[in-house]
Amino acid sequence: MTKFRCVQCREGMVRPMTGPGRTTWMGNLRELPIPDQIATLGCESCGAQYIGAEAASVTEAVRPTYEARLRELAASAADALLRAGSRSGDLERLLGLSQGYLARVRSRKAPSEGLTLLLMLLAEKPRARLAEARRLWERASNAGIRTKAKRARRSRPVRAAA
Amino acid sequence: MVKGTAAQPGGLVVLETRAIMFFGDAMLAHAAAREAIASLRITDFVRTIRQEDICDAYAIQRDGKGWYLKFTVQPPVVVISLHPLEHATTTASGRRVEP
Repeated sequence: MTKFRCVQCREGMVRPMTGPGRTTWMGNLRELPIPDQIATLGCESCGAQYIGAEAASVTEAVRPTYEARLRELAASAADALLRAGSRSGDLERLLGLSQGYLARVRSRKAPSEGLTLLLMLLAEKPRARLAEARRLWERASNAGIRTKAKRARRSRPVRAAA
Repeated sequence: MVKGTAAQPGGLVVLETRAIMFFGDAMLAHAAAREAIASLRITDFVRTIRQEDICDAYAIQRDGKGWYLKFTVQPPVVVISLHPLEHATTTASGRRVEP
């Protein structure tokens, strides 16, 4: 990679850099530290960061930190929900997860950002939001029953008047 | 020339800004910039911006929506902006691109 002048400050040269203090993003998580030995492109004067062909190795190097952070966030939110009185199995059922999923998240499985966000939202007001979640599932189920009943009424043959 | 430079190893770099974090990660951002430049057509060209660096700005279609793309024309190609259009833009050829 040839060096070039920074388009941000127009003073420093952009060159491959290693060492601490550099960060990147993945999904919705910002400021994920880039391992010291992984080279990235940066301006020696203003510190602006550039993404070059090395992006693939940066992404691979940061992925374990990203996944660990998601596990940490999900586990901490799940703990708050359990402390609020929900049982692990009930929580997994409510979220449509397989049994033992949350235990696997604690040990090794990286949850999706969607699941992590959902757990965090529930954990903000555990009792109220768990009750709301149960109510929503119940309403959705009842709506299904009502739709079925309506269809059945419509398809019932009309008896001829005597 | 820009397409040829950007296609070479090390020929394309993307300035990391908050706007580029629209993409899932740095690798996806770089791949999107490469793809956007490779698919440029003359009718996408909006204007040349002559500051200290000479930049070309384009309004392109990406996933059915209008996007703004700005990059330096001197090698290596440095993508300065790649984000959804904030408002409708008319290209130099008179084509209107909607956000």
